[in-house]
Amino acid sequence: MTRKNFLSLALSLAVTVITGASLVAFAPAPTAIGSAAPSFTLTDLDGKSHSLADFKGKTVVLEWTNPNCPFVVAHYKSNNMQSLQKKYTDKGVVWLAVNSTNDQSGEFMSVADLKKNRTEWKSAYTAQLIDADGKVGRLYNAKTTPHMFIVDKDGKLVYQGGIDDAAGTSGGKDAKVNYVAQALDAVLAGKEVPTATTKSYGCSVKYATK
Amino acid sequence: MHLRVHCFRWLALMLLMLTAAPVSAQLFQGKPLVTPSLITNASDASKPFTVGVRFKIAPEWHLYWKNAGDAGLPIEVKWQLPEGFTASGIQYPTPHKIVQAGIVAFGYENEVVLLATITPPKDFNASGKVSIKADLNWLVCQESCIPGNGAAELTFGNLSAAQRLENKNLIEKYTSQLPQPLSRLSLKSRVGTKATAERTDVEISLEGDDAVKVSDFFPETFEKFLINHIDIKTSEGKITFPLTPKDKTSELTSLQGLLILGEKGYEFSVPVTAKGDGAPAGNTGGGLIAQDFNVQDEAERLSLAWVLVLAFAGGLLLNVMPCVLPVLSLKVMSFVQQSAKGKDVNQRLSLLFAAGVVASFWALAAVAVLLQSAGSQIGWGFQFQSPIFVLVMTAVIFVFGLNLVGVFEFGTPAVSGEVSATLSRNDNLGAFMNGVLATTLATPCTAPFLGTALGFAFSQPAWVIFAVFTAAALGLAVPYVVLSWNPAWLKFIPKPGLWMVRFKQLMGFLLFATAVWLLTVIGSQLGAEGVVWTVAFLLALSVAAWLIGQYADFTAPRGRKVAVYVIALLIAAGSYYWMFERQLRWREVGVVASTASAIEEGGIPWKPFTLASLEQDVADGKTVFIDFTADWCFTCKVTEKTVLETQTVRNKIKELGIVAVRADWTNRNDEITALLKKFGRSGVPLYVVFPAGKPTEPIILPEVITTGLLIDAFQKASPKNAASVQ
Repeated sequence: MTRKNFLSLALSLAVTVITGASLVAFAPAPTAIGSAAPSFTLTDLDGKSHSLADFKGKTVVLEWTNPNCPFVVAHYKSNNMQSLQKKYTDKGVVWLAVNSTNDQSGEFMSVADLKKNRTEWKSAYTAQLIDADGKVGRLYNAKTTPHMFIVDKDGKLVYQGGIDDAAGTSGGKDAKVNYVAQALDAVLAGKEVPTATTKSYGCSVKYATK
Repeated sequence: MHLRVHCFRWLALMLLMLTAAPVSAQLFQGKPLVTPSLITNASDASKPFTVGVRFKIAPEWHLYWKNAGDAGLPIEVKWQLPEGFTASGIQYPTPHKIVQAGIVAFGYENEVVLLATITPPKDFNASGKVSIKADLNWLVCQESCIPGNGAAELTFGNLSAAQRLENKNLIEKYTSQLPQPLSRLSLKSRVGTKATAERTDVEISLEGDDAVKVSDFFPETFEKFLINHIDIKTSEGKITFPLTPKDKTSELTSLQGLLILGEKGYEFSVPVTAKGDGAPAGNTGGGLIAQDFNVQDEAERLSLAWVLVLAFAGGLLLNVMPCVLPVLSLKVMSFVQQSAKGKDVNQRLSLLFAAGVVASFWALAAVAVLLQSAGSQIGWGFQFQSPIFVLVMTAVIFVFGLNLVGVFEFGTPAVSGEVSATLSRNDNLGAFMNGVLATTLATPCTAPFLGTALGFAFSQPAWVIFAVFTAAALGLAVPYVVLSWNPAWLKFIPKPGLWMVRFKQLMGFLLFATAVWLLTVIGSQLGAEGVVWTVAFLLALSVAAWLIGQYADFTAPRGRKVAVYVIALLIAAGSYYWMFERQLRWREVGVVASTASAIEEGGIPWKPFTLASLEQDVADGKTVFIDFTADWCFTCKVTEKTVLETQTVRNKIKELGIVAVRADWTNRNDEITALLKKFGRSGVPLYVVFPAGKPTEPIILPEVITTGLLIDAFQKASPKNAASVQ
């Protein structure tokens, strides 16, 4: 190998490494607004499998949930969550509640219990998906219950954060802005979401410890 | 099975949310989970007082800090105060980091006391009961979370002494867990940011001795960014974490949080000038103490030789400072006694005296080095901040005084008489111990140059501290040695005779006067109650001394002597135990507020020192004058009476609108210690003027000041002149 060849090889190697590194460094976080929402396939309470890809062309809401969390309880006891679910599923939105509680947790509920809870609360989501190993939760970086994500009809993430601006257990009564309703109204009207990122609030998601 | 458990849990939970009764505990499965209460260490509401919101938390559950972390909710406190009362912001003790499956919480386990200062209205009338109420909201989590709420109330006058003591201890405990100012650390910081549309990478670079000890960073809540708290990485003085902007307008303008060193938190608050192009933006952090001063007077760097000369001169001057006078009188007595003996005896004794001074200075230096290496900040005269030390000094001085006025005779080698006997002896040990006593009494009054020299020394390696202390010791001892080696100069002192007995008795009264001065120090440390018990203790000591004097003289049989000494000792020890351990419980109570900040009618409207209010005043562009003082510093008190509280100075302060701040160092105060150190001092007095609008160019006045000097400095620092002075 001549010296010139060696130099150009080294140079191209360096360029590749630097480009690669900067690509990695500047790769958007998985939850970045405007980027493609990570795909997943999960099973619901009735044993039916759902993939995000199945809902292409529809707006999808992901609601991280845990019926043993008082924040979740508050939003269901006030009927706040169900009325949102009802209002927007009626408009063609797919509403998926995702439960990432691990099966070692004291708050873990069996499918049978979750079904009873669904009846008791008159939940109006499209489906509740079981993510006991927390893989999808980690993929979306869901931290709290509730933690809300909205994916538009092109599969892009357009909202992530809290359900509203009232961090607490008022179940929406103290809220001035319901971010999810605001974002869904904008998306359905083909407009840009005014507030696309907020800090979610609630209990921690009861992930499995690795 | 699962269902039944969960339904029950559910029911319990709903019941909890509905029935959280005021002042009572939040219950979970029949056991108290969170028990809130309000506590205070004040006996009435006439002055601003501290209120603690105390939460007792069941084991393994936790409440949240003001930034709860990734999940959870901060504790919410809503005050219900009587008309005209105001509450400060809540102060949060340093929280713990609780990580569960990668989700981070900042919170408190077992117990926490949040602190606030409540200020009564100016025209507050103490008649009638004052009660303070707080509505509380919290979220308590273990693995599960349960919200709680309740009201806690505190009514003055309803507390037993035992409860007050417990409250006092609790408030002290949690005050000590509050985050400290960053200036307490030897640290410089730089914040660099690298921002793209999707993320902002933050890097805090720390430099200085404490940089590698920083183990974590607990940020406050970000308004415009999201953070995964688990992504905060700390290693080798570098803290890094990525932030996700909430929207396109998100810009990191400042960074607030706590730097964590072990269990302790330090307030970190730095403005950030973000650069989107990836170039790191630098900034040094911290408040007033952390910033660099461009001090207007004294030279900042002093060579070691010059410092040693200053230390020597300072030691020399200690001989004539007001609070060393009793010791001088003691020494004068020694001169008188020794002039009757041979020259070689004088020379030997004088060298032993010098050795005593040097040895005790070395002991001080050793302690200083130890404390310095332990990271504790101390100052010249720090011994006088300990009530135990002051009490021991008072007792020793008092007993010695009794001895001098003739209540009992020394010379009998016995336990209780040993200290005073030793001090008055003219033999080797007596001379040596005289040197020790002279040192002990000299420390509270820092002579002008000694302050600079020691301030310099504290930031130096151990050997320099020893060198400086040695120089100061030699300065203190040298007049004595010189006089002893040139006994010709001793001829000015009259020949021994009956007058000596009277002179000795007179010295006894001088020592009583010293004891009175020490009582004022005790008063400022332990309050009026402390003074009363100290005087009662002195009374018991005098009875013990009298017993010895009357029944255990030279002619007494050995058995009787032993019995008398045992009785005397029992009286002294018993009265100490009963008065201080049972009645005053002084070591538990700790420190009572000092009197030095009391406002005199028509005098300068002194503002008590807090770093926060000082920083506020300086930042507001006001001219600020700070008097660093302490009750035990006689020089300070004299200057205050003769220079500061004069009509001329009072008028000038009023005319120029100067904010007068009294930094009272009677009791240990770390903020004041840090500021003193900042000015290169380790003791009081110190007088500093911050010129209006020029917070980085404070004027430092000499330790001995005159009215003229002070007025000149005020003029120079006043708003219209400060602008033109460079």
